[in-house]
Amino acid sequence: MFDKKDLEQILDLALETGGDFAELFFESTFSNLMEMTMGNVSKANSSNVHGVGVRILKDTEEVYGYTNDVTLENIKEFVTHLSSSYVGNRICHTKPLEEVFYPNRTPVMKTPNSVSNEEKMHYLHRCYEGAMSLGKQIKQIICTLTDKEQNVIIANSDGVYAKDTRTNCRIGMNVVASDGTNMQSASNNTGRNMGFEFFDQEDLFSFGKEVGESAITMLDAKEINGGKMTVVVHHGFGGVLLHEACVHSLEATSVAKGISVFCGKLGQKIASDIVTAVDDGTLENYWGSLNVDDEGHVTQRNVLIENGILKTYLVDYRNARIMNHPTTGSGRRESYKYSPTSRMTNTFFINGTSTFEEIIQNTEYGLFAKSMGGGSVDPSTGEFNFAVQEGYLIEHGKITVPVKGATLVGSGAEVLMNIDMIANNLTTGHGMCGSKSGSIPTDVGQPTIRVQNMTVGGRGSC
Amino acid sequence: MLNYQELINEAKKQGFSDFEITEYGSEIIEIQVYQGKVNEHTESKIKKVSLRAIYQNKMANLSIENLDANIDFVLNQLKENALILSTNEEYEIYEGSSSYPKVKVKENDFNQISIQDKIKLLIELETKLKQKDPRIIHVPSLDYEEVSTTHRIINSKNLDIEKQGKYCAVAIQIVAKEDEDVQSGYEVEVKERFDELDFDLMMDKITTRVLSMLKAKPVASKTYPVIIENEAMADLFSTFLSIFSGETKIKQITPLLNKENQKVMSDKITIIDDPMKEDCIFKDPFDDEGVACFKKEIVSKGVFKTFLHNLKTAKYFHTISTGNGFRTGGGIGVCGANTYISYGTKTKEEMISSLEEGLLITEFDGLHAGVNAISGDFSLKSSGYYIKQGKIVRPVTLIVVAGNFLDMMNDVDEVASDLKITLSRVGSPSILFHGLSVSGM
Repeated sequence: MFDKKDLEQILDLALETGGDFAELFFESTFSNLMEMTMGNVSKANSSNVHGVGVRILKDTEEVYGYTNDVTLENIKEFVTHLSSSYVGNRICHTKPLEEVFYPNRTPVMKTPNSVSNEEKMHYLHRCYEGAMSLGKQIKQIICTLTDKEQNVIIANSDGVYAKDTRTNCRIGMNVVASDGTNMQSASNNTGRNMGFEFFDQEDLFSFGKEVGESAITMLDAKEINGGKMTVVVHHGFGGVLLHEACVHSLEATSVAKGISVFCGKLGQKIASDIVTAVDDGTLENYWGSLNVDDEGHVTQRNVLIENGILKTYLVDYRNARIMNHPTTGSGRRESYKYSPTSRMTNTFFINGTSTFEEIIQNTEYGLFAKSMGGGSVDPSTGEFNFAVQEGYLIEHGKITVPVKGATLVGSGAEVLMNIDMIANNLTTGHGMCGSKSGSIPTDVGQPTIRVQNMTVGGRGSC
Repeated sequence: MLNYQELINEAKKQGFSDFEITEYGSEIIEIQVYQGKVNEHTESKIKKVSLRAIYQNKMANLSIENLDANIDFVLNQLKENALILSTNEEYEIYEGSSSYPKVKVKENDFNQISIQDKIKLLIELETKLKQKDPRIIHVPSLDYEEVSTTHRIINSKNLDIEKQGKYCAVAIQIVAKEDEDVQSGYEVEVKERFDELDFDLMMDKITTRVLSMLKAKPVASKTYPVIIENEAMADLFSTFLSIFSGETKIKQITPLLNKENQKVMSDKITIIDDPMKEDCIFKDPFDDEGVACFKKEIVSKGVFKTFLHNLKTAKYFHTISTGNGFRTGGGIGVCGANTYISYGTKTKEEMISSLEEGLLITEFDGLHAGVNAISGDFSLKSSGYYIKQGKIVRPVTLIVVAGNFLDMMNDVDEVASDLKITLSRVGSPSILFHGLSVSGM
């Protein structure tokens, strides 16, 4: 690898034609995937991502390039080629690089390369046994273990020099149940930004069993009859509602160009009074946590909405220039093949004052969305959609029959105003978020919440 | 730099029975124009390799971008990955097909027009889009991309084949507003040559569509006859392609299990997979295992004819590969390539005028979440138009269309003539379904 002098030389070269900011993002990543199908290891794949991303800014214009030929000679040639996109004379020099020090938010005990394939297989087998214990209605169990170690060096012409190793591991499960005629599946995953000690602490048998139970429950589920109704969204991955319906529209990616529904609303009320929402990249070992973001800035806790009032957007370095807004430690990217932009880390509603039981008891009729699938949003219109993986009807203050095929749709601005109860049982779920700068790990979370007047899609009579 | 022959020789020495190297190269230029100037300019050059190797009768996978990696490290990793596999499947590295179809390539013109001239054309297009209608309030992105790829397979059975691709693409996003209602839309066009890109046609398509969606609102919840427009239908169809895969047959998670040669859809439905389809931009003379690609009927007039196979799934079922072994994630999976529902005779307009009341669906959202390919169920946020007495009356949004894929494909009233194959290499004409459940107001 190169020393700081080499990096300063490359950065300075990048500024020769009038650029006023240059950045290098070196990455070397090794990841593994092991898949177990009905107790047998059916896949074991490894991959390596290795290269450098170069970014040169001139005011708010951007030139970006990436290559996996990381010899000093090639990088210099590549940087010279990229900088030739600007026509002008040098206006500044790079500053001496100074290392960024940070508290380690993602300590690792058992690194992926210290864990043998046999050990990995045993973790998967525990999940498999959990689902298998449910008996003959379980027809197929596919468990996947992925681990990743990403080593990055980020250096820029403002003098930032940051090094970090990001280690994460995750198990995903997909279980299919059948009663002979009907086939239903359920899936879930659990992961952390830490080493394999995470799986030693987890009850993987119960995790597998719960996914299996969810698939079996759905065998008896009736199709829900669509329409507008009260929806109680359960804690954990239910937070995908906040993630999609609201926070994507608070990312500078859409705010800087003036297309988000929340543009110009800082300091204004955008949610009901009981809503406080946070994006926090500093939580120890959480799935979406980072020590430094992919621009070398230390991550932070950003209060996005406080008692219904919009407090901040999520802003990366380049968009900060456009928006005249401070950066929020939110510059992220999947790999060196993407230029960084504003993204989420761990995003959640904070606890309210109700209990889960109170919310159910106080609901005359509605949908209880116990487990959510994914969703998406168009930030310019705020229109979102989510799939409900495991749902139940609420009738006269009680959870009654399971329902399937429910999809929630609406507009982000409306849904935030319609939250009228929040429980005190905050947990998070672990997703992969796809956007302009690729697919990145993010936690979504919330306590159980109740939303009035949501459109629920379905095709049944229940 | 890894020497491929050295790597194969060393692998043989260390006990690998067969070894395959796939080299991918890509060079990409992307330009984004915003507010009259270049906002983002990206260039890249990548060469990476994916390795597959058979060790003690098991197939291991490894892909690497660090081409200076140590050979022993590479081989040890492959051994470890092979030794942990415990399924009873037979693996094969392919010796090659007797012949491969030839891809006709158009003469490339990317270098005949300078980057500066291309940027000028994009800026002109942005200006025209903004001037087209006062309700168009933003053109948040206007992107141009030029891509050259190479794909070479070399293996220990002396196979050495290569295919290349070159294409350019323009993607436009616009946002329109009328009173307080905002609508946005996205249009992408991909061509082999720059001079085939029709900027004016793209502009007309996207502005007409987005402006016509302004003031869209839900419809009453009930069952409607529904026309799903070609692109939306192709998008929906693409999420159910795994039901035809030999892999889902092995895992017994396809609703088509044991249904070969049975009627599974309406006799108006024929489904074809044609990796070399003449009018498609992306063509494959061979799949990622080196097996020659060919055209096949998956469903013929409603009768299910064949699952798609790679070498592994074909061996499992004692049949031959259909040339559909394509890389998905780490290893070789089974994928269609230009898989489409064959077209009928009526036009979309004729189908619209035949309806007393109904919906024309032009877009589905959340296809990654609201679809269950195992049960066939889907429940999706949709938008389009409300049809009354044979005419489009108004735009519709924030509704959910729900159904079951196989049930729906058995409930076809009409298949239109307007086949469209999308960038994800899945195609469909517009199709009129007798009744689908719609939730709205």
